[in-house]
Order: sequence, then structure tokens, then C-alpha cells
Amino acid sequence: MIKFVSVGLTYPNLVNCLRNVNLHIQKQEFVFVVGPTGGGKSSLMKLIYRDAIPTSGKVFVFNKDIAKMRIREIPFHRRRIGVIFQDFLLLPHKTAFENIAYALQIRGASGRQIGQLVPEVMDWVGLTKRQKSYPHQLSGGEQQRVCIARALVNKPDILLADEPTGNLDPDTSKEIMDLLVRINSRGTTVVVATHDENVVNDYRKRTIVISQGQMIADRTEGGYLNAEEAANA
Amino acid sequence: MRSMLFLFREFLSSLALNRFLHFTYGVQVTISLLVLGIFLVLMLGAAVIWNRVGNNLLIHAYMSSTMTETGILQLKNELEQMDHVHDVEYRSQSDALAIWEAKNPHMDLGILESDDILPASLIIRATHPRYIQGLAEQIKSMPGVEELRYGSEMVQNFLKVMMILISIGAVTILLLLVFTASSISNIIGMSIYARRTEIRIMQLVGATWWFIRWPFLFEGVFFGTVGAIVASLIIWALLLMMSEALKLSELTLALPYFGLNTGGIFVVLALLLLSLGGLVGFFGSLRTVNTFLGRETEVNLDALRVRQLTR
Ligand SMILES: Nc1ncnc2c1ncn2[C@@H]1O[C@H](COP(=O)(O)OP(=O)(O)O)[C@@H](O)[C@H]1O
Ligand SMILES: [Mg+2]
Repeated sequence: MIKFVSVGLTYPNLVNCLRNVNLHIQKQEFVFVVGPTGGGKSSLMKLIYRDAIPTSGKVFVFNKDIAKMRIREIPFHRRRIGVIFQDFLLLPHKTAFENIAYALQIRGASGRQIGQLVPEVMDWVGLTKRQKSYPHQLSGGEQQRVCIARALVNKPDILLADEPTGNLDPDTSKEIMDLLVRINSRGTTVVVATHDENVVNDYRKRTIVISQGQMIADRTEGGYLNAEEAANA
Repeated sequence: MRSMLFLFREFLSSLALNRFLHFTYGVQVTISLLVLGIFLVLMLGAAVIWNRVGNNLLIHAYMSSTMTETGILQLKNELEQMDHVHDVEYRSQSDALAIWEAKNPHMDLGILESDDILPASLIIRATHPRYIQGLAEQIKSMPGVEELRYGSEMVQNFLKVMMILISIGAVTILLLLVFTASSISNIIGMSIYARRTEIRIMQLVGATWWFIRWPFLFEGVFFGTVGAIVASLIIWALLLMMSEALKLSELTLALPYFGLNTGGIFVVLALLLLSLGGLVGFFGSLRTVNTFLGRETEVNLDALRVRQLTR
């Protein structure tokens, strides 16, 4: 489903961000991408939803070379990928319901589809009673749930979460992580970038370690950086 | 279609959210279009007058009564061969009388029946007003020409000044167009910046290129045309208010003579302003949209995002 072949990424300001990354993520997998801040986790995610293209090597998503994708194909690529961030990216003047409906409206969904799909997904992430609330009336965890619902409402094949718990306390983090695991168990491929040690250690999932732009470990048994990796980073 | 409705509602709410700034820029666009419109009116008037006066700069060569019709026609032929002569018209005595009659319907025509008062004439039009002086000098000494009448030097100087004024006006109008376009660019730049989170979200959830840009282009055209409408209305009001004064100065009396009336000027002007406003709005916003949200949407998006985070 996601394949990196000796991928290198250099930003225009010559920051050498990723070097020789080889990676294969299967359908329905749950993967942590861990490592110190500035290591290149977000950049790796950007390559998947084609917010960046590799400067060397190749990235394949859904068996398509993302560098060869035409500009007008990008939106349709992204409709198959849900993305959530640390800074939730919600529209402040829209209610939770409207924020989620937004992802359907930009695709020209009918009012009936919206009226059916949005409450459904809101129930599913546990926001049944918060439909009419504005983002500032919601807790951090609830805001992140709205983001997750917005990413899910288009029924994506892949869900990317870049530091989803970065702004949340440990208990709320756990709730959000449980939700992501639940999404994965429904058959969606989930990739979570994080430098939150507790989160990684609580869930024994495949873990990829990225440090200074290089992939220094890929362990199926999971677990955060070991002593040696920590020292290198 | 449903998307259009949705985008239109989004546009209205964005207007409401940034009321003050939109208003300020809207006023700016309106004022520049207004000044532009006033210049257009002046230019239109100047151009018409220039054209009329220029066309009326004819040389009237009155024939001596000894000339026969064949002689005059031969002279006409000769004149037509001369350099800088555009055309020559023959006006016989009876033609002249008919014209006089038409212009002065209440006069007793009896006194004009004698030969000398309304002689036959050749009316010479130069290829350009500046050749009139030279031509007149040549024609004056030709046999059979009794008397010559043509536009004085003052009229020609007047034409020169008018020409300069028209050029200045044209340059000013161009500058104002650029200024209007940049006002609209500013509005759109501001809108894009105000809605950067929204754009980011749209891109992430897979909105298409046009879906994201359309509202900004619409906004540009909207401000251009609304500005033009308001400017036209103001100019109309000005024309109405001035119509009394214009009547006094006999300018309105002169206008029909130039083939125009205030209503006509206004319609032409409103249409011109409207299409200029719309075009300038479209291209002004297209430019901004393309610089902020280039074809490679991604690259500039990062810039937006960095700005947002370092705010
Ligand atoms: N758009 C960008 N332009 C230039 N450099 C960038 C950009 N995004 C990230 N970087 C740089 O690339 C490196 C990796 O960044 P990032 O992928 O965000 O790491 P992480 O998510 O692991 O913290 C950092 O040194 C960062 O400064
Ligand atoms: Mg990051």
C-alpha cells in the first residue's frame, strides 16, 4: 500500500531531510513512526499524501508513483487518505458538525448524504452530543475527535496522524490512541508519527525509528527508542 | 451546481467575517474606478470634439462668377491630384442655396437669388489638419479662386493642445487601471491570508484546483463590478446635477451636434466601466491567486503554514 524505495528529500533551503529511506507498509497495518523532533517524521508523512515529492528515490502509494502524479490527480489521491495533526486545523466559525460536513461539501455531496454520514461518523468517534458546539467550546480531545471524524467521513484507505496527541494530556492521549486502533481494526491502514514514548510503549505495534533523516530501526514488536538509538539521536 | 451554492454561501460568510477591511478596499476600488470614469467622460468628450473640429477643418474655395461648371470640375480634378488632399467636394450655387435654406428656414430667400452672394465652391479636406495652412497658400493663387476660407492657426493650436490632453488622459487611465488591479490584488491577498487555514483544510481533504480558486476569482470580479456600478451611479448623479450648469454653458446644446447626449454618454460609460471593472477584477485576483496558490499548490502552502505558525 505504501512503499518507499531509497527515498531522499532535500528542501529548497538545502536542509537534507530524509536519506535513503526504504519502507514497505502493507494494507491494514498499524505503524508508529518515532524519533526525535526534526528527525523527518512529518516529512515522511507529507510524501505519502503528496504534500512533497522525493528529490531522489521513489514513493509509491496505492501502487502509484507520487512524483508522476499530475497536479489535478492530487485532490483525488488525497480523498483516499485522511490526515490529522497536532494543531487540530478546525475552522473556528463552524460547528463540529459543519467542520465535518465540510469534507463532504468540497466533493459536492448532497444535503441528504451529509445529513446521514456526518451524524453517523460523529456517533462513531463519540461526539454524539457535540454536533452544535464550536471548536472553542470543545476540549482538546474532543477537537481531535472532530478532526478524526472529518478524516474518516470520506472513508479513506489510509489514515495518517502526525503527532495526534502532541497537545493532549496522557488520559486523553490514550482515548485518542484507542480510537485510532479501533479505526485500524475496521481495516484502515494507520500511520502515527509521534515522539511520545508512553504512547508507543503502551501499544505493541510495528515501530519505525527515524533519526536525522535516516531510518535506523524497523521492529515489528514495537517499543520506543532503545538506549543506543537514544544516544545516537 | 450544489458546489456553486455552497461556495457562494462561503463567500458571503467570508465577506461578513472581514467586513471592515473588505469595505475599505471596496471603497478604494470604487474611488479609482470613479476617477477613471470621470477621465473617461472627459476623454470621450475631448475625443469627440477633436474629431469634429478636425473634420470641420476644411478649406472652402469660393469660385469667381466667371468660372463655368466644367472649369470648376477641372480645377477639382487638379486639386484631387495634389499631395495631402483627402478629398474635394463640389458645391454648386443651387446646392449652396439649398443648404442655406435648410439652416435658415425663416429667412426670405429673395435677396439671395443674385449670383454673387452664394457662389459655387470647392470644399477641400486635407489628409491631416496640419497640412491645411500649406494647401491654402497654394490654392489661393490658383486661377478662378475668388476667396478662401479655412481654419485659423488658433484652431490648429487648439487641436494640438487637445491631442496632448487626450494622451495624458490615456496614460492616466492606464495608471488607474493598474492601481485598481492592485487594489483588487490586495483584497484577494488579504482574503487568502484570512482563509489560509480553510485553504489548507480544503487541500488536505482533496478539494480540486478550481474549487479552491473559484471563490477568490469570484470575489475579484465581484469587487470590480460592484465598484464599477457604484462609480457609474455616482457619475450619473454628477451628470444630472451638472446638467443645469451644462445647459447654461450651452454644452448640452452642443452635445447633440456632436451626435451625443448625456444619456448616451452614461450608457457607454457604464458599460465601459463595468467591463473594465470585471476584467481588472478577474485578472487582478487571478494574479494573486496564482502567486499564493501556485500551480504546485504544495510549495506555497508550506509558506502559508509557516506564516501561520510564526504569527
Ligand atoms: N517546508 C520545509 N522547508 C524547509 N525545511 C523543512 C521544511 N519542513 C521541514 N523542514 C526541515 O526538515 C527537517 C525534518 O523536519 P520534520 O519532517 O518536520 O521532522 P519531525 O516531524 O520529525 O519533527 C527539519 O530539520 C526541518 O527543519
Ligand atoms: Mg513533525
